[in-house]
Amino acid sequence: MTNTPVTLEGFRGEFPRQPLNARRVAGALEAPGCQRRTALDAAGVNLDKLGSLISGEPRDRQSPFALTRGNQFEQQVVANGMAEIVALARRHLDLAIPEVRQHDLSAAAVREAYPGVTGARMNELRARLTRQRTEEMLTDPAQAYNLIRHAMTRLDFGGETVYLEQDVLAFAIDGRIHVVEIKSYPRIDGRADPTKASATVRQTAVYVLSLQQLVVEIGAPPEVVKTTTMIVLPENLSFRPTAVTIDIDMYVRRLARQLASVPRAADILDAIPAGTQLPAHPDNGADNDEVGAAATAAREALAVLPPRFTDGCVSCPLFHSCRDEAERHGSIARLGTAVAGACGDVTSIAAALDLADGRRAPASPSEAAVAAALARGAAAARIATGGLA
Amino acid sequence: MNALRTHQALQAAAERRAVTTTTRRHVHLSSSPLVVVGYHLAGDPGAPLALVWGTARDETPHCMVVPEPRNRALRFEALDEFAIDLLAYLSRFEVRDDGGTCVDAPQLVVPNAGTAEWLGGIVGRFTRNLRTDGDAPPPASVPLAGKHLSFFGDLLPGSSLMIAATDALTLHWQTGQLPSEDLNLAALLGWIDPPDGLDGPAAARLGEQAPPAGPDSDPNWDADVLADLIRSWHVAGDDPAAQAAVRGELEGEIREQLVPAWMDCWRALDQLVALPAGDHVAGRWLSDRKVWTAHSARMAEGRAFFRNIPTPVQAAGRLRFLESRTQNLQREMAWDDPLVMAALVASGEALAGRVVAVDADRQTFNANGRRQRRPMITLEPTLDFARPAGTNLYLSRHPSVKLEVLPNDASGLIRVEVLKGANQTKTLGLLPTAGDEIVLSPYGRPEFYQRSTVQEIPWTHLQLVEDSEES
Repeated sequence: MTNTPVTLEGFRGEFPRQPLNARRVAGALEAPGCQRRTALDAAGVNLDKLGSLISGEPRDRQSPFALTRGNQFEQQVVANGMAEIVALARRHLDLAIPEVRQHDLSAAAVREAYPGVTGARMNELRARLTRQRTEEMLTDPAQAYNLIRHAMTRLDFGGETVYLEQDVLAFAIDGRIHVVEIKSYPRIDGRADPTKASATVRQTAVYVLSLQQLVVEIGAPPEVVKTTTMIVLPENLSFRPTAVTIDIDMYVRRLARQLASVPRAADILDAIPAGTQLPAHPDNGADNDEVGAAATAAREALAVLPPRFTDGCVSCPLFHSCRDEAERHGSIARLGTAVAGACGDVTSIAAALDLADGRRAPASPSEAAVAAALARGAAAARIATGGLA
Repeated sequence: MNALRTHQALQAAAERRAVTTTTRRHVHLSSSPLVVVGYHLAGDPGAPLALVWGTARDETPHCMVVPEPRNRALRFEALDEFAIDLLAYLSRFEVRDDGGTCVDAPQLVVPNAGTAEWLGGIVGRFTRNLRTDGDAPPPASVPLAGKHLSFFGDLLPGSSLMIAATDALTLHWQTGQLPSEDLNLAALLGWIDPPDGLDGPAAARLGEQAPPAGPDSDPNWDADVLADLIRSWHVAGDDPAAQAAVRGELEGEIREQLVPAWMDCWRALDQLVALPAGDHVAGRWLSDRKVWTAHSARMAEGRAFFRNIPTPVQAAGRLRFLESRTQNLQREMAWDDPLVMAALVASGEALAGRVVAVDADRQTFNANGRRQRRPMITLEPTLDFARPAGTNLYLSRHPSVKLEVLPNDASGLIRVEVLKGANQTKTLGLLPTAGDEIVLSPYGRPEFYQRSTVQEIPWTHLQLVEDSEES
């Protein structure tokens, strides 16, 4: 063992990468303060593979039917030179779009133009192109592309720069950039599923924020990127697109705050023993022993990273193993944020019950308050079930 | 989260088994419910994939499958099967009593709120207005069933016409897991009623392994099983024998996925039926029967219309009505159930104590200098009561008796005076006597007179102009 500090690359080792996208950044923020998730995200570890490796369960794929439908809808709205999108943007964003000059910055399109560029250099190239195009948009709006797709932007996450592939469109008209997001869940009678809608808003906020950071780098004020975004959804059960505009300013500012409070990944890694490293992911044909050994090694590597279990963890690929861990430790966090909040800084189930039943004397004023509240609850239940009406 | 519920959650985790949060049952259970579970195609709620339903647990449930859920004709053909059965089931509840109210009402039981919303909000919403006279019309039963489903999808708080099993169970039990995990019926039942040899968490894990209860199917099953079956349906083309084979295979797979959830609904009902019904449950069921009667009359006259988007005034009126019904439900549950009332005692809103003295003849002078009878009750509180003098409380046993907390002295006893309900000769009998253990709750009888209806659009429901200009 050496004494060199663990680096993110060193920690990830040979484990497969998975670049961050907005969904993952938004997901990471649903589990605020989780050092385990922050380190894994900053290191770009493939969480799905890691989750299924340590829990031994197949990972949840997305249903092929949901994928097909989503793609069909997206193809339909971007078909014919984005005719539908342009019409919706004219109407809902109140834009006068005399002419659409679009540019695709997806990996496939860029590879065609610059053959031979791969891996991390590809990301850099796309980010550089995105920056160039955005600069042109702002300096020469009459000539430059005014609609870019699949841009690549950067975002600072826990002190690490992560690349973000935007699946939104960015419209630049009159020196203002508007973000357009296409989603395939239906808007029924003017109302979309609130859970999905709020997830969309949080993801879009990630794009807006990283675009704002880009324009600030270029030297323009961040307000150039409008926080009023347009979300395109199918209307009712048809494929007919309909659009809603939402001002997500509040979410963008909240996101900026949350990102600023993400613990620095480097600090987290400094605190863990030197030499901690994820194992290589076993090959497809690997036998059970090999998979078992890799799972054990992965669990050991994770054990040194403190998790923080909350209600938001359900959507995390590591949910099952963190849940088992919380259960093994008898942690109150296992019961959800509401119960954990009510129990203040008492973190173990046994300790809380001991306090409630007076088997343990409170050690601090906050413990005394928790003990009093729980004892009161228990007493009320005893009186009620004692035959009192 | 009140202190009582928190303590119950801790207890459930420590005992590794769900804890009852009520002593009574607060939902009505029909003797012949219709239990329905179903899937739609992933990402496409308008494309039902399968429904499994039945009214008797010991009979094999009916099963409808759509071999190509995106095909409109196949969808209606399958929905027709379900619609005919639903209409037959509902027609059993048309018998009226002398007052013109149906003597019994139907009850739909689904595994979770998601299924209830899907059946009412999507399947009902998008079939109720189908025209049966155009090109390729759907069977007449489908829009009729759609109207009924829309009715069941839009019920009032406290209604038992449609029961979502997970909601009903979490109302009566507290588990030691995350609230979002309680949405899985099989896992929730594991906590409440673990099989022999397993504790709650272990049984919940076992439940999680079961196929989902819908309306979303397991994405891995979609990829591994369903995709192949739909492909073979397309391969089968117009060959009836091949089509029948694919249908048979799909039905087998669907039964394997959905029948466990269908059985779990019955298990949930078993758990609930073991609890004695609260006193107000019958009253709420009576109002359910009246609502059902009105709906069935509208159906019979062809007047059952549903708005897709309510007008602002309708929405505001509806909201006000829902709020008052929610309050009523909370009140009635607390009156019926000492354990529900205990949550209020724990939070300090209600006062539990032993009566030390009752002064039935106490008189005070009102503002006009006239004598008025204001009986006084002195209580020794069982748990500290910190609400200030002037707080209004009601006897939980006789909610018509309104009390007011008087300034307390140093004795630690709480004194309350009767404002109304037990200050006249004929009502004095409602007063407790010394030595009684009583609870004073914040819940009085609801207002007798209906509040005025909403006439103008309140500011909360003003609509913004669609294409508003950006600032």
